[in-house]
Amino acid sequence: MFFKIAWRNVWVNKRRSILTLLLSILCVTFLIFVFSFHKGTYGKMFRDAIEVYTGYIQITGQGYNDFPDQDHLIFNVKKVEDVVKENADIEYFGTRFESFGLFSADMDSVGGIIIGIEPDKEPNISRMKKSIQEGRFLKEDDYGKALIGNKLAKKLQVGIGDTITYLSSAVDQSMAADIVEIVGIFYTSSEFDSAGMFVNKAYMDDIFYSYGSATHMIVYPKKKSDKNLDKVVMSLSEDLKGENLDVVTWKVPLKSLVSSLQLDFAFGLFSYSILVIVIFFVIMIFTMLAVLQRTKEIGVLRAIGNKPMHIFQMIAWEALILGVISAVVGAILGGALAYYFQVNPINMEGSREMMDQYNLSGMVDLNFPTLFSWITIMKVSLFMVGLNLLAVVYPVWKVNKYKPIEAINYV
Amino acid sequence: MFKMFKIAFFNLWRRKSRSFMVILMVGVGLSAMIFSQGFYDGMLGQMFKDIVRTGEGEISITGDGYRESKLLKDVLPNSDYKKVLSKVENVRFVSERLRSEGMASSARFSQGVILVGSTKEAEKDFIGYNNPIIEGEFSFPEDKKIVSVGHVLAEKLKVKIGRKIVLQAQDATGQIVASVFRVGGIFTTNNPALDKRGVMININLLRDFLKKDAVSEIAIVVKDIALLDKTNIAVKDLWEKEYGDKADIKTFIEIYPMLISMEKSINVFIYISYFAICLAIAMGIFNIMTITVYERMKEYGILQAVGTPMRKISAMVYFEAVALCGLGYLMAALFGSGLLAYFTINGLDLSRFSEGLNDMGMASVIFAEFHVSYLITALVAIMITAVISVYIPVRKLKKMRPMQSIRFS
Repeated sequence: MFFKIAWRNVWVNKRRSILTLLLSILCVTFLIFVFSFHKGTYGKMFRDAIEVYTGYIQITGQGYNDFPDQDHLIFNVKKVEDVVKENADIEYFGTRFESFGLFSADMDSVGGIIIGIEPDKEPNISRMKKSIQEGRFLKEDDYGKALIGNKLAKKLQVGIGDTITYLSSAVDQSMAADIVEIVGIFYTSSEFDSAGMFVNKAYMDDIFYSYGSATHMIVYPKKKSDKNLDKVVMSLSEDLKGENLDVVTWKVPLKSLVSSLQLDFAFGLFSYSILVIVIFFVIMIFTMLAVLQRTKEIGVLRAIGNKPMHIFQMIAWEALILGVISAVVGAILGGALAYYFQVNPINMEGSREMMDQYNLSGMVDLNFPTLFSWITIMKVSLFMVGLNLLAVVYPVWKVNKYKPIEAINYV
Repeated sequence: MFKMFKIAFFNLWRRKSRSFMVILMVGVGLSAMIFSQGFYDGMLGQMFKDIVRTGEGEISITGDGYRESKLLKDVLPNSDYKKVLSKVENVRFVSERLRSEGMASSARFSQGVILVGSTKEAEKDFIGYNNPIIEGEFSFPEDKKIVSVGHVLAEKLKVKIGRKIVLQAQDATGQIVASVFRVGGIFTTNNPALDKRGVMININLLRDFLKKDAVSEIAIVVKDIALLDKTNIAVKDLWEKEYGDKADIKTFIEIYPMLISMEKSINVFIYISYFAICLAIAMGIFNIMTITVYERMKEYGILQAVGTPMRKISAMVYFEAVALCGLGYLMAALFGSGLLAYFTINGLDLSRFSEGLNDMGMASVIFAEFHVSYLITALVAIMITAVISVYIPVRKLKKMRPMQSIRFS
């Protein structure tokens, strides 16, 4: 019965209902769109940063992330490779050896990072091969050949076919130095563009005496969800127990990016919260006016035996009807927007300068997609229904304060 | 007219709960907006200051082509630039620096670094303005091989005060040179480039090290930022007169367009937020004032019937809406200003996000700013909202004749 009364009441007071619906629909549409945009954008940023170089899972010597030196390497690469090959959840893997050095050409010198990679495996675990702008990627038999970043090439004023000298220290603390020929120049939109040089690991092992060792083994699992990554990390950690190794997901090496985006989301949430609070007040005002207008009617209902809880039920049904309609319509509109911009990402090429200053790893293209997610749509829709229900608490409390006779005589 | 305003003001309290809800709604919405503006301005202001004061200053002078090449061949020759440039009226501080890329090695690790040659006297006005030192002393004397390093670099190299590091670089003759230095100070500046890769060394020591008696940049801080462009022109004119040589003289706005883009983006975001919030508030006020006008239609009819001009009755309704919003604004002004005052003095501790903040060149503790313009913006926004919200109900009222109003149901 209360549902019937509530349904009637909703359409009797058209202005209040239309305004509440309009506000709620706009709110739901807006929130679905912005949360989808945040999720999609952050997902792209993480994916770009992970896939350009960092990798989804890293195996390093124990303590290497805190002490990235020659004492914390993987010293038994072959054994680790055998364990990784046995794991059915892993699709690809590859090893790297990193060291810092001074690069020198005719005109200038720059401090940077030398990375030994496996040319046959690296294309499966990073985007380095796709990032080549000039020249070619490394081959398995390359010796004394290097890839350098485009900014580094510009700084040292070198190009394809030119040579650069590097100076570093080997695993046994002796000097490691050589002259390499540049065969490729890359652009990754990351710090490697201005400081990175990639060489064949086999060549690097000869110069740095790093045979059988590595600073990182990068693991590329078949499924890349957070849950699956944690599963793979646990299984690898178990299999490699006692080998003095750390197995971590990308969240450890990219913790500053994770922190930046958490902060960005916190700022966004603060701003959206202001809007939601104001909208809540507006819905509460609409509800209060609609309820107080019917004080006499409510007084009569109370007088014929209805309890305050029944009045609450009746008005709650009204809020539920409006909440559900606005949630459904808002979900359709918001979901449509989220889907459209997932398929047609928003181009922010105009913000290239701002993005470059933030040195956002791996973001070569600035097309930001939204992420269409049923869970986001459900959560926001339920939130709006809840907000509408919460908005009736004060008005109902106020009207139930009156005794039936006071309510009937209300002016 | 005054009597009408008096009536309007007392009308506000006929339905107390309704009025309080509107005042609360306006108060909460506007105080959050006032706080946001102060917080974002404080965050940006700190970032500007840190990047500018630890970077290239508000006006930067380099050799022609140096900004692109960063090569020793494009630097300026050593001269008494500080004495000459300090003559320009609006110039506050001048620092001459020599920079070079290099490598720093400790017992455990190596890292590419930026060697920044300067003097303590110059840098206490620049980098030293914000007490950057974490450990040791912000000092790089000419007679001792002591350097100060950024805190992220110190952590990476695993060095503390008194420990030795080897610095390597390519000198002006193209040779790789190396020398041992002791760490005398560890600093934090919120400039990620300096904190992660900066090694500060005495400029004369660096000149000897690189075999180049030169200056790679002259950084200037002005007294009044509003006169930045005028000062830039004055510096250019003086430079041409004194030195004649071609030099690249730019303001920080030209060097860091990103900062200006960020400022514009945040301002656009604030205005869009104001628009959205005022739109929501307008809907609330529109509904309330419509109900209020309908409730008192008979009353207005009687007022009209006894000869009150419609313009006075309209003014009464407008005033009621404006007074409601005005009281909400007062609440927002007090609360928002109070919040800003607190966070201007104590800062907002965001050290939970310190990794991300440092990467973006922001401090972990952000101090808000307060400007009267925040209150003016909020006032103008809410008054416009109040007036626009009441337009339709007042129009409806104006269409009614006295008898229609008295009989209105």
